[in-house]
Amino acid sequence: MSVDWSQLPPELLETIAKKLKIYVDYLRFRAVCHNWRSSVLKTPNHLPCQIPWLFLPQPHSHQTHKLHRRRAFFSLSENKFHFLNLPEPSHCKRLCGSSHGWLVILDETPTISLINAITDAKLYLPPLSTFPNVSDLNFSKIGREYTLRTFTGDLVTHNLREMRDVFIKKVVLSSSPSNGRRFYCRSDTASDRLNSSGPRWEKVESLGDGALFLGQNSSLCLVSVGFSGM
Amino acid sequence: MSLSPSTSKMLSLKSSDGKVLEVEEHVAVLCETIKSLVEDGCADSPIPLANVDGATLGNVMEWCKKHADQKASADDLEDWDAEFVERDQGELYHLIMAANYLNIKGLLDLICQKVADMIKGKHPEKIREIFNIENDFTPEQQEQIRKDNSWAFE
Repeated sequence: MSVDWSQLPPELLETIAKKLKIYVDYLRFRAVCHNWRSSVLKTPNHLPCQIPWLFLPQPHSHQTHKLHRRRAFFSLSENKFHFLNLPEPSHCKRLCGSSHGWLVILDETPTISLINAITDAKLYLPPLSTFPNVSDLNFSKIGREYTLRTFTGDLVTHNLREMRDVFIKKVVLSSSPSNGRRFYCRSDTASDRLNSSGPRWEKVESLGDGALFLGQNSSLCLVSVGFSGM
Repeated sequence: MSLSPSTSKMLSLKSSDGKVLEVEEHVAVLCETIKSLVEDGCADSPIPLANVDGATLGNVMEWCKKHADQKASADDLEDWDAEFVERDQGELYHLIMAANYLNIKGLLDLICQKVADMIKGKHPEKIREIFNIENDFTPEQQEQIRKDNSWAFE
């Protein structure tokens, strides 16, 4: 019997592929030959939770680099750097969350964007001006463009940069935007939620079956049904 | 039916290249395929195994013998298995096909894990080299695969 690994039966290829626990190994497995590629699912469903890549800060170098879209990530599971082109330059932007492979980006406009550095896709969440405690946005009031209502009912003003840097602590996606459900966001005044079908941010009264963990580095949102003790 | 070592009789197994191997029944029945034959009373000798050559059958039975030994501890088996899979890709191929044909889950798992370990951390070019696989993608398909996840192939 001759040795021909390319023609291994699909069930054996599947068993082998299921023993690969890092996504990049799975991608490379599918790039070996036709039969290996067609014998296993395009999107694996056996992988354990993958260790997130570290998104490295932009080096403080020459001015021209600020327009570069290329950013460095470090993969702990492979112990190597990967360089990805973001859909747009990241200069003057703030990263305020990442989940399900999407980065949440704020800049000095009301826009909240989601970018996927792997697929180069870009989506938008409802803008900062639609938060319930934002009572006014007026670009002609330079330096105090936003008017916010505090808990006590007082009105305070914030400029564009303050809104980018401090208004939102963190945005956590409760599911991948491609599955489209709702997104959670923590502002400096309240925990707000958004239905993805809606154009505005709304205050959360109850998370229902959801559970939300907010951390400095990592945050997680999941459905608590099926997790005993939660 | 009792298949314990004390009552074990000998079975004759005949490989694809005509070699006959005498194996204790309690060892051979680690192969589900052979176990079914024994249980159905169809195990009159010699049992023909058309898809397994003599050398591979010898290796498979060596594994079965070790794993049928009830005195072997889990640690001992693990060390023994690690040494058992240190083979060239040709031998591993015959073992994986034989384990599949004879339906030996433990051995199949072991060899699949070894193959996965040989794949881990390597680029497709290197994997093809190790397993002697021809790249049968067209240049266009190749380009598309790279483009879809270029970071994985840098």
